[in-house]
Amino acid sequence: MKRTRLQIGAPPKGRVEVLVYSILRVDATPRDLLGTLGVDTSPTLVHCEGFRSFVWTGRKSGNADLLLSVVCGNGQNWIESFSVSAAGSAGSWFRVEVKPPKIYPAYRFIVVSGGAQEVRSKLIGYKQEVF
Amino acid sequence: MKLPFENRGISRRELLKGMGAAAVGMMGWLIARPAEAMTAESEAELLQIGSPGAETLLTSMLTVNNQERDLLNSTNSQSPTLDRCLPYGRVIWSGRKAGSADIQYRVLARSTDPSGNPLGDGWYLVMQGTISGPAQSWFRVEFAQGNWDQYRVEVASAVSQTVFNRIVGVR
Repeated sequence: MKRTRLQIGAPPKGRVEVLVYSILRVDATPRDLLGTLGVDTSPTLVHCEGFRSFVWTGRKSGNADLLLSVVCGNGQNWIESFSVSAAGSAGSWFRVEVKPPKIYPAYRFIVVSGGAQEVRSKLIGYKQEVF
Repeated sequence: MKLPFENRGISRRELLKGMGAAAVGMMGWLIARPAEAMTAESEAELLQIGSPGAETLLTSMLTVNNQERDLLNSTNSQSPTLDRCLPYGRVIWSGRKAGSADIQYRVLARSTDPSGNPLGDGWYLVMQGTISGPAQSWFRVEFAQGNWDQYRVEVASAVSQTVFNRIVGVR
């Protein structure tokens, strides 16, 4: 699995920043965008106080829907979570808007899919209200 | 003691601000408004000269017919019309159509990896529609979504006509 966390070492500069780029094999086992397994483990993103919302875009290789669960907290304790889904046929592109109820320092982005498939995706963060 | 420009209602602070914005713009302002006090409106004009809010991403003149092609005249469906557009939250396409026939369009988009290569083949459909209007009329289309890396803008017309295009991106 190829994944790159661009956030580390590259502090946000503009209105929108690329935070994660990943090529991930997903299935019914929860794993985050960086490929780590489990639900309540290490955050996918930290130092996110400057971001108000996120957009997850990418391309899915299978027909099964993708479920993205976003767990929010401070990196030590997870406080709340919500889910969004991405549907589409094999080889289709998706775009999912992620707006946390409030701003948190850390997030864990967990992906599951009813059928195994490869997902190439990108997560960007917005420093202003955009949707 | 007042300096000469202060007799025109311009403070030193305002003059320095104007010089910083754009020397050329300042000259134009002095010529256009020799005896007026600087107002909020005129200050806004000066700031615009120094820091335009939109950047031109594409200009093209295209003959559109019933074969789908993008605004760069490419019929290769994998070829992007615009690249490196992530910073632009708004993308606005405006232009002028020479004929009276409708123009069908599709705005497609996709993301790229850190090297600038698409994450995969194909496109996400951002929007599609029809541009109607008499010959020599103007049109304006704002993309429904911004901040994609690449866009492909495809057009077709049942009757061949020339279309002049300009796309600007707003950060």
